[in-house]
Formats: sequence, C-alpha cells, structure tokens
Amino acid sequence: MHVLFVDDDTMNRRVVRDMLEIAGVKMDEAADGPSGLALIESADYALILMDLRMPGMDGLTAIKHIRERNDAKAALPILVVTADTSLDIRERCIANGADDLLQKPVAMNSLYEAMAMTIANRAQAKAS
Amino acid sequence: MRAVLTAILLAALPLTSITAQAQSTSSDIADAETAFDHAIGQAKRAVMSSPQDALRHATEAEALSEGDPIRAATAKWLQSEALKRMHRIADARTQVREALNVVEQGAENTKLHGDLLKALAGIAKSEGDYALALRSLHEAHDIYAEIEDPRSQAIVLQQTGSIYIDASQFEKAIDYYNRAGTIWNDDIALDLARLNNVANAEIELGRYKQAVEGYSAALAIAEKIDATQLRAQILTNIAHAQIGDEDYLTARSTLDQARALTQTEEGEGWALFVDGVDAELAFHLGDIDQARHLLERMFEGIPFDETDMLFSDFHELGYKIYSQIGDTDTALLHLKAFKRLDDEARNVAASANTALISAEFDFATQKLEIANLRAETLEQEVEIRESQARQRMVVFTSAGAIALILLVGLSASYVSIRRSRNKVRDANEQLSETNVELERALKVKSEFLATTSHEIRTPLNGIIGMTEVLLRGGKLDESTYDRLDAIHGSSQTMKAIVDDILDVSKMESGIVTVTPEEFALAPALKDIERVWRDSAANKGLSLSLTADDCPARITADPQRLRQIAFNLASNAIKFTEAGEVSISCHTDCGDEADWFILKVTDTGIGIPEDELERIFEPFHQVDGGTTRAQGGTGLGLTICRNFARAMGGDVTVTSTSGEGSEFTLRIPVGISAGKIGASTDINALAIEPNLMKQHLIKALFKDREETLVCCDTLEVTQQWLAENHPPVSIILSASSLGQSVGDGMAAMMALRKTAPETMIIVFCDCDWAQPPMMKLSGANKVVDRAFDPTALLGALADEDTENGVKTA
Repeated sequence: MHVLFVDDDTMNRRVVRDMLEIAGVKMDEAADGPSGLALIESADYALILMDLRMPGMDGLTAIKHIRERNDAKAALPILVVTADTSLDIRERCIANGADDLLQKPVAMNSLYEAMAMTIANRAQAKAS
Repeated sequence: MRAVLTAILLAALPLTSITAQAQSTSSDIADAETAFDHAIGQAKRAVMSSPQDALRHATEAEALSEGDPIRAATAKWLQSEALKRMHRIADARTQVREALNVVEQGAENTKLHGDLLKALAGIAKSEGDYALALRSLHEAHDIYAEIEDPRSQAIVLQQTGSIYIDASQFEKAIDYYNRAGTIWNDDIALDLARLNNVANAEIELGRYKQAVEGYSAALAIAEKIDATQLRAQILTNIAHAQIGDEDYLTARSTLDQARALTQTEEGEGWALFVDGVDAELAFHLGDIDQARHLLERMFEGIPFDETDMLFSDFHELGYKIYSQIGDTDTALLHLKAFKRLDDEARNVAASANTALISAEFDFATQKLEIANLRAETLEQEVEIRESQARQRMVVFTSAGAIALILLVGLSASYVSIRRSRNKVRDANEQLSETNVELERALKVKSEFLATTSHEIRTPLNGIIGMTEVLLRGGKLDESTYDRLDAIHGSSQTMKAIVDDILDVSKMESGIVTVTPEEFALAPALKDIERVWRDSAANKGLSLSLTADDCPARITADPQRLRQIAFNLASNAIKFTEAGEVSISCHTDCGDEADWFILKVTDTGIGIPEDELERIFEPFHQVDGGTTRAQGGTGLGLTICRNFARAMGGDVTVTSTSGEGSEFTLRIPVGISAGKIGASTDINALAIEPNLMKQHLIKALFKDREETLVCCDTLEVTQQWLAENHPPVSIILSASSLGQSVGDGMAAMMALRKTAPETMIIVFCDCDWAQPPMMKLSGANKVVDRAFDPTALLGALADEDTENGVKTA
C-alpha cells in the first residue's frame, strides 16, 4: 500500500512515516499543497493524509483541487490530520471534500483505524 | 485573483506620486528663483519622465547648496528618488540616509523630513525590509499630521494598507485605505488607487459584489481622466469579480468591453490578461477547449519559469485546465510555476506579517501608555482643582469678613460637589472602557488557548508518536521498554490535560457539541478496561467490567461517552488505595426514552456529604492536599457532568466517607436489537501479516453480520483452528502460505482439511501463486491480484456466483 502525507512540519511527517513503516505502508511526503498535488499526478495512492494549516496553499484548498479533478483520482480517500481543535473543524473539512478527520497528537492505532476506515468507506461506496 | 490586482496597484500608485511631486513643485518654485531653486525645479520635473536627467540636476543642486544643510538634504532626496527609478536601490538608500541625518538635527518637523521618511519606506519595502518600511511610514504619518498635510498623510496610509495587502491581512488593509479616504478625498488619482485596491481586498475576502461596486467607482475616474490601459485593467478586475460572483453573463460583456480597449495602441499591453480572465470564464462555463485555447494564447512566448506574480493565478488555472484534459505534463509545468510564485508570495507575506506583528505590539504598548497618561492627567486635574480651591480659600479669607467666610464655605463645597461629580463621571467612563477591554481580553484568552493547544499538540505529536513507534516497532530490553512506557504514560497525561483545558474553555463559551452515532458497545468498554487494567494492577487493585445485560450496539456520542467513562475510571483508581474498582453497565427501557447506565464503583477514600456537589465544580478536589499528591487539573468531573447534561443525562454520585464512592452516568440512548456477546462464534478469519491490511479488513467487516478475527501468520491460524470451531470464511493472501508452489499448495490443502465447510478466499499476491493451483488445493474463490478493499468486497458479495472473481 502506498499513501501520501502532506504536512509542513518535518517532525509530524517523520512520526507518521515511522508509524506507517511498522504497518507495512509506504509513505510519500510533501511539505506543501502544490508539491502534494504534483506527487498525486505522478503516483497512484491508496489514501491522502492532509494537514490543514500550511503556509501558502492550505489543506482545504489542496483538497478542493483534488476533488475538482476529472479523473478517478478525484475520488481518492482523503483523511485530514490536524492539531486544529475548533468546534466546527470536522464539518468544515467534510464540507470541503475530506472523508474524515484525525486529531493530532496521533496515536498509532487510531491512525491505522482511521486510515482503514476511510479507505473501506470509499471502497464500499464504490461497490454499492 | 491577486495577479491582475497588483498590476493596478503598481500602475496607479506612481501616478499619484507624479501628482504629488508636480504640486509641490509648482508651489516651491515661486519668486526669486536662485540657481539652486532652478536646478531643484528641473530635477523634480524630470523625476518621472527621465530619472537620469533628474539625477544630474539634483547633483548640480547639491553643488549649489552653498553649505546650507537643508538645501543639500533636499538635493539628496531628489537624487534618491531618481536613483530609485534607475533601480540603483543601494545608492538611493545612502542618499536618503544622509539627508535624513541632516534633517533629523533640525528642531522642527518639516515636509522634507516626512518626504524623506516616505522615500525610505518605499526603498525598504522594495528590499523586503517591512519592519523599516512600517516604522518610516508611521513616523512620516505623524509628521504630516503635525504639519497638517492631509494629502501626504493619505498617501502614507495607503502605502501602509498596501503592506497589509502583502501580508494577506485584507480587513486591516481596507481599514487603512478607508482612513486614507476619510482624511483626503480631493484627488482623483489617489481615489482611483484607493477604490481599486479596496476592491482587490474585497475579492480576496470573497465579497465580490462590494468589489464590483468599488471597481466601478474606480472605473468612472479612469474614464474621466481617459486612461485607456487603466480602464482595461479595471474592467478585467470587474470581470474577475463577476466570475467570482457567478454572474457569468455580465462578466462576458465586461470582458468584451475590456477587449475592445486592448485593440487600441495604448491598451494592447493588457491583452494577455484579458485572455487570462477570459480563459477563467470559459473554464467556469465548462468550455475547457476554449479555456485552453485562451490560456495558450496568453502564455505564448512566455517562459513558465520567468513569470512574475501577475501570472500566479493563471498558472493555477492552467494546472486545473490541463489536468482536466489529461495533459499531465503541461499541468505539472503550470503547477511548478504556481508553486514558485506561491513560495515567493508566502515569503513576502511572512516577512510583512512579522513586521506587522511587532508593529502592532508597539501599538498595544502605546495604547497602554495612553491609558496611563490619561490616568495621570486625571490625577493632575484633580490636584489642580484642589489647589484652585485652596487658592480661592486664600483669596476669600484674606478679605477677612465673616460673611465672606460663610461664602467661602459655600463655594468650597460647590467645588467639591463638582469635583466628585467629575470623579463619578470619569469612573463611569473608565468602567465602560474596562468592560470593553475585559471583553477583548476574554476573546484573546480563548484565542490564546486555541493557539496554544494547537502549538502544544504539534510537539506532543512527536513525543507520543515516536514513543509508540519505539515501543511497538523495536526490540527493546525490559528496562528501556519500562522507561519508554513511562514517557508514553506521561505524554498521554499531558495530552489529557491539554484536552481538559480546551474542553472547559469551550464550555465556558457555552459550546458543547454532541454527535450521536450507532456503535458497538463491547469494543468501547473493552478499551476502557484495557487502558486502566494495568494502572489498577500496579496499585494492587482489581478492576472488573460487567456488561451482560447490554445491547450489542447503541446510538449515542461514542467520543463523549468514552471520555466520561475514562474520567470516572481514572478518578476511581486515583482515589482508591486498596480493594477494587468495578465498572458495570445496563440499559433501562422507559416509556419516553431508553437509558444507558454506567456505574463506576470503588472502595476508596470516599467523599464527605457536604462535598458531594462541590466536586463537580472546576478545579475542586476534596482535600486541597491531595491535589498535589494526586495530580490532575481538577477538571475531569466538571467535564463529565457537562457532557452528560449536554447529552440529556447526568452524572451523579453517592459515597460514604472512608468506604468508597459510586458514580453513575445516565444518558438517553437509541438501542439496537441484539444482546452484547450473543454470538460468540467467529464467522470470518483473515490471515494477514500486514498491520494496515488487518485494520482495513476489520473496517470492511464493520457493518457485516460476521465477527472477524485476524491472525498474523499461518502458524497462529493453525493454532486458532485447533482451539475453535472452523469459521464460515477464511480470507488470506497466498504469500502467507509459503515461499514456493509446493509449500503453498500443501498449506492450502491442510487448511481445507481442518475446515472442510469453510469458504476460502485467496488473493494471489506472489509469483508462484497461480489461480488454477489455488483452486486445485481447495480454495473456493481466487482473486488474481494482491489484496485490495474493492476485490475483497467483490469476493464477499459474490458468494454464490463467481462473477467478478477469477476462477480456475
């Protein structure tokens, strides 16, 4: 399995990469929205992990770009990973095209579960 | 669309400064023109049209200044204005600095001083030194205000506004532009720049209708002064705003007007941006071919890696257009150019923001100083009044008449009444000011908490995450493991505290959200037991969980329920030294609602009767001494009760001091059929070594009837099969069976023998695994590719037919 994590914080990327390595998942990483979008062009990911607060293009804008695509990649499962605890943050993410949201700090099991759930829900929606 | 907007900004502002200089020129060269004045006049006139000539005249003027430092400074200022336009920024700065050194020695503030500061600000901004630019603009503004030159004040305010635009702080930028307009609105060029730039900011804020209004007013001015290219630019901006407002029809006719203007010689330079916005319109109307055609024409002969900020949004548009038509290469080129410009803009915004933050901090300090000054003035006034009153006493007594002494008494009391009235009035004023400040402080507090929480969470993510990675991923000796586990425990506690504080802050603002959903009860309860079992055992306590009479699934807010149960269990263990902590739950079906009841009972220190309600208050713990001994924020129970009440229930407590306590959570829930643990048989089994895929399979089984067990290896599976009834189905990847055809087929046959009735689904994820062989050895369904969710769903759905699944 191959996923992409877009987050401007080096430490965050490192932690998630190491966690995913244990689970046997290969992770590509991008430090900002545009670099993430460029990687999506060239690879087939099972899932996108997306931070929200990034300098320049923020996560929600990047998600919007993905959802506006005309190909199959528009339906990529996208899981937001954020330290933002605003009350309406989940609603805002989902309204902007994210599948689900995971709150930082990220625990290993909840990361796996949330990723699995996001992929499974997309697959089930596709099957039905 | 920032691109088009910046263009107007650049085009309009020099225009204003031409007018500014032309005016000062005409008023300065009055009568009795000396050689120096003549040279200065010539330099001023040439600044815009021919900076080289201006520099020459200004240098002449300096030589003619006859040792008068102010004259020399004036000449230097003009030299710097000329140098700046010749892009010799470093030289320009030197001249301004030297002139400023002279001018600052003067006792009085002069227009020249202000102009020099304004020039310095311009130079600093072009060098990216926003802090200096802002400081200089502020100083210049104060000088212009003092010498009552509102026009220059307005220019400086507009320039400050443009720095806020650079910093992407659009509301504040609008404020500054509006202030500029209030101070001086007698100059069409300044008005045009202001109206256009405010409209730019409105667009960034998504207020398209206001933007169109502002642009239209700017357009009226541009028409009045007959500036063709400006008109084309503003019309393009209007079209862009109309596209944002989804008013495509009007945008079309606006663009046509803009295009007509670009047919003229004066306006043709703008044609490519009309193409760009036209492409944007076509894109929004779904005409991708036309959009691509227009964008291609716009970028004709322009290398992507040399474009400037004007093109940024058109690169973004390009990325969208080309990725929609599947031209990935061009899409990527646009994306790359967009990223380069985005990075540049971000750097500019970052340094502008840093400067603004420190400047705003200065403002805040100034505000405080003003408040202090005001208080001091108040005291002084009171003192003055008192001394005035005393003086009157002296005057009157010196008159020496008894009748007058009576009068003195009257007048003194009059003064003191008036004084106390004044004091009351002042106190009231101060009080209402304090209230406003308090309100602001509260807002700042919750913003501060939210930001702090965000900032703490980020490094905490590193600590918790990396500790988990080490605990789960590596081979550690026991003592290292224990120490890491201690770090993990501490970081979890810290996370809980950050969560608690944030929760209470949200409750203070009166906002608690509840999101009910249906979920399986057993895993949630097991999770609580799993987390606290060790802590209980470490204190020598037994922890029990009973949930026999519960439904398998309920509808409630699982996060909140979990949080309450965690808090209650944590408290019980914290305050119990010996004995046991038990968690039990049941449901109670009433007429109006079904209730879920969770009780946490302990044999701990208990709570005195008079404290029973107070423990739910924030920061309260029964024994002040235990606060330190037991740790925690003292917020847990407050949060529990608030959440429970938000869910329509409550948390209550009964206790006997010294014997123990029982906390009861009671919330209304939706109950789904089926008892907890009713079906203990495992219906499906997956052999999957990859942790992530295990989670995926579990997620796919979440809504299915079958219960699922995952085994890491074939050995574990065989052991499990030896101890349990065979499952209804087994899901596996061929690679977990062995390294070769022989091993794999043998393992598959062994599986089939152990579980003769079981549906075996196998994914061929390795070279040796061929569907016919898998079928032969006993698999029911063979998927000719590695595991993926869609294939598994397909295989599970097609239980009777073999459609969609490759068979032998």
